Formats: sequence, C-alpha cells, structure tokens
Amino acid sequence: MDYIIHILIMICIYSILGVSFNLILGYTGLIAMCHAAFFGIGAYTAALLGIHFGVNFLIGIVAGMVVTGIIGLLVALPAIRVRDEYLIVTTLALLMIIYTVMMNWIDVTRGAAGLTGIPRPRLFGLEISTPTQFLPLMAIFGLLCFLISRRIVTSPFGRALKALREDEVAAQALGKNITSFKIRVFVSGGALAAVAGGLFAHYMAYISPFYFTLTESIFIFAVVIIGGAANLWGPVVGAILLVSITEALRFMAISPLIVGFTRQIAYGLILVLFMCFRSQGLLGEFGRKRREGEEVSDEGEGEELARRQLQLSQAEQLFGTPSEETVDANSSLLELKGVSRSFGGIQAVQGCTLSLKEGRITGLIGPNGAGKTTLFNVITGLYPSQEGAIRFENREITRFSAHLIPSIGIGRSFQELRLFHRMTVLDNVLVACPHQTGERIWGAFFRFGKVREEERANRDRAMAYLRFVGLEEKAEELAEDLSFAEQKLLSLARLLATEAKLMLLDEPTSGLDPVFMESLYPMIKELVRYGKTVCIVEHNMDVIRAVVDEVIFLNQGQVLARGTPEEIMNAPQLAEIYFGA
Amino acid sequence: MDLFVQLLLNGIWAGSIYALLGVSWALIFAASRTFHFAHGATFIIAAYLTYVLDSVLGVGLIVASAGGILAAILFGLAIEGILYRWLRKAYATPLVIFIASLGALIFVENNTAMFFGTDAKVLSGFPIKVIKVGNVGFTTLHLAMFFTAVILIWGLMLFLMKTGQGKAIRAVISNPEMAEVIGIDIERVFLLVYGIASVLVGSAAILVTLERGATPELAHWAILYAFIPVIIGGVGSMGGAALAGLIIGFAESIGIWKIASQWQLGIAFVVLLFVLIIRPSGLFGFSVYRGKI
Repeated sequence: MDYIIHILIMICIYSILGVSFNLILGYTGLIAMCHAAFFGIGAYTAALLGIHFGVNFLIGIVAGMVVTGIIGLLVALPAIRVRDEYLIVTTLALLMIIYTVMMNWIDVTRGAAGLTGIPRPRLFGLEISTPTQFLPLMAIFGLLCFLISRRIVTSPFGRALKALREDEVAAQALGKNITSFKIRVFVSGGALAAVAGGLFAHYMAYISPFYFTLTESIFIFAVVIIGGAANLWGPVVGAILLVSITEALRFMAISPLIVGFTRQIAYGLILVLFMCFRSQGLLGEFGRKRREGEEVSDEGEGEELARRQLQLSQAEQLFGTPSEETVDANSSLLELKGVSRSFGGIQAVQGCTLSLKEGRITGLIGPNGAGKTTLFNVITGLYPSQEGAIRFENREITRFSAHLIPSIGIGRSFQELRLFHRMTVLDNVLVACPHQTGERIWGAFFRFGKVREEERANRDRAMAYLRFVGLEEKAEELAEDLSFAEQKLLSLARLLATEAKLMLLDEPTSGLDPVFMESLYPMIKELVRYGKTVCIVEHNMDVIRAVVDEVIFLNQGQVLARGTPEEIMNAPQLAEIYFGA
Repeated sequence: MDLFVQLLLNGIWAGSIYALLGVSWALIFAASRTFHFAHGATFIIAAYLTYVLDSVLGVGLIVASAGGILAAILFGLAIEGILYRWLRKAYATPLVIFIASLGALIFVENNTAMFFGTDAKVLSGFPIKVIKVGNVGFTTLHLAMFFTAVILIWGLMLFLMKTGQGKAIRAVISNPEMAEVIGIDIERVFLLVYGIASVLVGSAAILVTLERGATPELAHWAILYAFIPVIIGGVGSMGGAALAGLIIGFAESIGIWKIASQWQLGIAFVVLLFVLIIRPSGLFGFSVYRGKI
C-alpha cells in the first residue's frame, strides 16, 4: 500500500515539474535543458536550510524558489536576448555546472555522498513522516502549482506567450517585449520547479547530485512532450504514464543496478517513437476541438466573401463618429530625414527623406528591391536606421525599439501575414489589444477584477473588429485553418486592434482575386474617415488608382518622385524604371 | 616563462579535442540546422567499439580505431538517413527532431552503461612517451591529438573549398532552398555531412579514450564541448568553431593553474557567457541562421 502511495507522490512531484516546464517549453517554445538543475537547487536549498537552521519547510521552499529565480535570471539575461539555440547550450552548461557544484563543494553539499538527515516537515505542530501523511501535502502543492500555471496560460500574459512562440516578429510588431516575456516565464517556471525540489528533499530525506542530471532534465522533457505540450493536462498525464512505467520496470528487471538503465532506455525509446508517430503527445494542444484534415477550398470564395459584405456600419462603434473638421493636409504625421539602412554591402535604404500626411492614404511603389518593405522595417524599429532621423507626431523615434513603436501609434501588417497560426482567430485579435493589465504577472494574479473587466471589453472590441472584416463566424477557429483571403482579413483585424493611428500595410491585396480585392477598397478608405493615416506598399496599379491619394515612388532606397497617382503613372521615365525597360 | 609555455601547450592539446568536437557539430548544425544531440551518442559508440576491438578482441589499436570510426559513421548515417529523414518527411518541426535526438542519445548512452558498466574503459597499445624540451613536458599522445585535429580540420577545409561536393555543402549551408533550386541533392549532402562529422567526432572519441578512458557519461561532456565552440565561434563558421575550441582550451589551461581542476567546466561557461554578452552573434558568425528551433 505504501508503495502505491509512493508512486502517487512521485506523480505529484513530476506533475509539478512537468507543469512548470510546460510553461517554458510548451507555451513559450523555449528549449531549456536545465529544469533538473532548478529542481536540484530547490531541493538543496530547502534541505540545507532544514538541516542547518531547522527552518520550517515552507520557508525552505520559498527560499529555494528565490535562489532558483535569481540563478535563472542571471543565466537568462545574456542567453535569451539572442537566438534560441543559445539558450539550449547555455542551459545545458548551467545544468552541468550546478551538478559540478553539488559534486565538488564538499563542505556544503557533501559531494557525491549527498545530504542525509533532512528533517521531516512540520505543519501545525504535526510531523509529516509516512507516505500516507505526505500524500495530501503533495496533492495540495500539486494542485496549487497546477492552478498557478493555469492562471498564467489563460491570462493575457499566457496569450502573449503563445503569440511569441508562434511568431516573434509579429508579436513585437504588436508591442510585446519578447525578451521580457521570455525571461519572466523562464524564471517563474524555474521557481515552480524549485517547489518540487523542496518537496522532494523533505519527502526522500536524502538527496544526492545524481538525482539532478541531464537524464533527469530529459525525463521532464518526456513528461511534457509525451503528455502533450501546451496542453494544461498534458504534463499530468505524462507524469502518470511515465512514473508508472518506470516504477513497473522495477518489478521486471533482475538486478537493481540495471533498473536505472532500463528505465532510461525505455523512455529514450518512448521519446523517439512518440516523435515518429505522435509528435503532439497523447493530448495535443487543442484536444479534440481540432478538426483534422478538413481541406479549405479557395474556389470562388472571393465572391462569397465579398457577398458577405464588410460591415462598414461597425466602424462607428469601433472608431467613434467621424471627425467633421478636415485635417490640415499639410501637417505630416511621420517624417523621415536622410534615413539609411544597409545589410553587409547592400544599401537597402539610403538617405530616404519623406513625410506622410495626416489623414491621407499614401501609396509606396517602386520596382522589386526598391526598399519598400525595408523602409517599413526601419520605421517600425525591426532594423533600426543607421543614419538620419524619424519623427512621429513631432517626436523623435529613431532609436525606439520595435516593441515600443506600436504603443506610440504605428502599426503594420506583413506581406507574409505572420499570423499566430496555432491560436484562434479571436485570440489573434485579442493579443493585439494595447495596454493589457493581465500581461503583467502581477496583474494577472492580483488584479483579477480589473483583468476580467478588461478582457470583457477587449473581447467585445475584438469581435467588433472581426465583424468589421467579416470574420465573426470564424472567431473560434484556428488561424491556420482559414483560407488565404480570410487570413488577409484577419491580419487587418489584428492591425486594427492595436488602435494604431498610422497603419503601414504591406501588399494588403496581393494574391487575392479581383472581385474580393475590390471589396477591400471601401474598407481601407473608410478607415481614413475615422482619423487613421494609411501607407500602402502596393504593386497593383488598379489598387493605387482606386484607393490612394498620393504616391511616393521609391527606387534603390531613395525617393524618386511623389505626386498624384495620375502624375506618377503618366511619367514615362518612371514607367521605364518600374518595368525595367 | 616555462610555466607559461607549459600552460600554453596544455591549452593546445585540450583545445585540439574541443576544436574537433566543435567543428564536427558546427558542420552538422550549419548544413542541416538540426540540433543534433545524438552526436554525443556517436562519440561513445566510437569510443566503446574501439575499446571492444582493441582490449577485448585484441585486433590492435589501428584496426580497432578504424572499426570505431566506421561504427561512428554508420551510426551518424543511420540517425540522419533513417530517423531524421523519416521525421522531416512527416513535416516534423525542428523541436520534434530535437526531442527525438535527445531520446536517441539517452537510449544509446544507457544501453552502453548497461552492457559495459560505468567504470572507465581504457585502451592499450598506444606508445605513450613523455617528451621533455627544457622544463616543458608533453607526451606522444598530446602530439597525436594536435596532429589529428590539424590534419582532419585542414582536410575538411580543403574539401569544402576545393571539391564539387564541398561546394555543394557550402551552398546548402548558406542557402538550402536556393541550393535545392539549382539541383543539389540536399538529402545526399546531409548524409555526406553526417558522415564527415562522425569521422571527426569518432577520432576525438578515440583520443579522449586513450587519454582518460571511456565512460558513458562522456556523451554529455562531448555534446557540451561540441556546442560551446559553435556558439562562441559563431553559427555557420567552421574556422570560428576550431579557433573557439582552442580559445576554450587556453582559458581552461590558464584557469586550472589557479583553480582546482574540477571547476574546469566553469571556465568554459564563463567564456561562453562573456561572449554572449559582448558579441551575441559569436566571434566569427554570420547571421544567416535566423530560424526557430
């Protein structure tokens, strides 16, 4: 009987480890190899405090969380800023360093011999010593960690995490500071692992460095991946399955020496087989909600969408009544002076000087490679300008980082859309809403009421944006299941949700059929009536003629001409450049 | 002065091994963009097969080494040609391939541990002699490490620069889509890359086994010291990985002069963090690779 309870306790511990690692790996897509080290730091901190100072185990656990959090932060700061693979290597190194410290800092950790005599926890004057007494404690902590993680992933914070997992560039263009999000989730995941460590140390009463090796980290990987990454219950299922299997092997193997190896061989094999045949794990991210294999037919859907009539009447609800006073056509919203950007030897934008007038639709045209998209990237801070100055509403923004640009009122769409594919249509729009209290961990946990209120309001607005572009019925579908034209509309709705004053549209109509394309014109024009300023990169001259007030002709990263669509199109020398005579 | 020269030389011997490990993994990562954790498995397969042939079957060190390297090549080809290729055909994400690679690593590592135990297995038959020049000393094995690294890495560079096959590999490294468009058989290039990298890592494995014996845990050690030079040198640069291997060798050798040797790994870690802070793209890296793992 005690043996079964022991298994249940181990399931609780591994559930905590899995649930916390799921935040890092499943929801954020960060590959960290050091979860066993976090587990170990938590265990050693709690054990040492218990042995030497006899502190209450709850304080030991909290101390473990703090120490783990600090170490995690120190490693995350340099490693997370850069590419993903750096984190793998840095965390692998961290894991092995922590192991080295446990093995060699003999005075404190007693090296390979490990720490013995870790005191039993006391709660309300009662000593908890038998497995039966431990089980409720473990279950409570397991539940607590599960609830914390559930709150994190269902809050706006968790939604932003998924967005940056799906597409960092797009998340940045919606104003998310991706480095900060990653660091926060890495540190909080690590701190939760330390809880498991503290519990483990007190339960086992003995710990040694061998519990916290790379093999252990890979086991935690297996718990998350086999259960189902980015599914709340995934790691719990994974823990139940893997702990049971490894414990069952105990009865089958002959010598106790071999048990450890066989169980690792077994889960190594399970990992490989799962990756080959069911890589989403047992549960998968979307459970049964997801309809598999349904083909989206693009046939004649342009007409269909156009018929669905864009809900222009929504506009007033969204943007307020159109301002009657005409905007001073000479005041420019965005000004670029001598802006340059080169990549290696290629000068993509050189000495570009232009201005976008408020309340106008400006078209940016030019031959391929003229630097149109690069100009957008420079304005939005993705590739900071190397020379010159950019001013927005008379404010110098040249050095602003990419995630600050949306907050001052500049939004953009991407030619390749960059939707968050494995998120619902509604979530794609919701994540774009500015100033969300629930995107801070503190806000998500301690300002419940405010977050709930904001969520309700944002949801209403998001649905209104979806209605505006005609996607209301698809709100609960995954973005990747939409047709191409619908995805284009979604990217527009997402951009609108940022409430940007200046909207930079990168080829909003490319790849669409003509009927549907024409149905977009009134929508874009409508936006200007409500105080938006629009700049469109476009190849299609019909679009330019139908929508645009003014055209800027770009060639080799410089402004060659500007004027009304007619003026530009009737200039023979420009046509020559454009069509490469 | 003698001390300095001695430390410098110690750095070169260790750095040679790190360079071999680093370059072998750099080649795989740059070409296939696969985070090949199972490289550590290739390492111990070469080490243990050489041990079996040499010390158990007694075929002599040279034949045994050839056998060990051959086994490494076969394993490398099998992982790429069967496992990774299968996964890529099933449109697996890089994360899925990465996890499969982790699984393969612990599978091989623990099988090895079960069959051979965890004690160090030593190779005999290498004439280790101490050579003294003034007050500076080193062994014939150290020279073997250095020359193996120089010859193999030099050979690889020549191969990449001069031959058609090498140029195909370089094309795949700089732009796989374009390489495919101009008619390069990417799958063949991947196999070639895994084969070559296995020769490098297999040679490093045999040299390390000669120096300190083989243990299953060396798999972890080997991947770590394969990864770190790549990050320090910069992703995509073979020369950078080789040089970074030497730099780590020097840093550790000079560090150990003052710090106890069990903290060696800490020195490599500090160098890694330092480079990440001051030059995130690595010392010689070019930023072609921007994908998500």
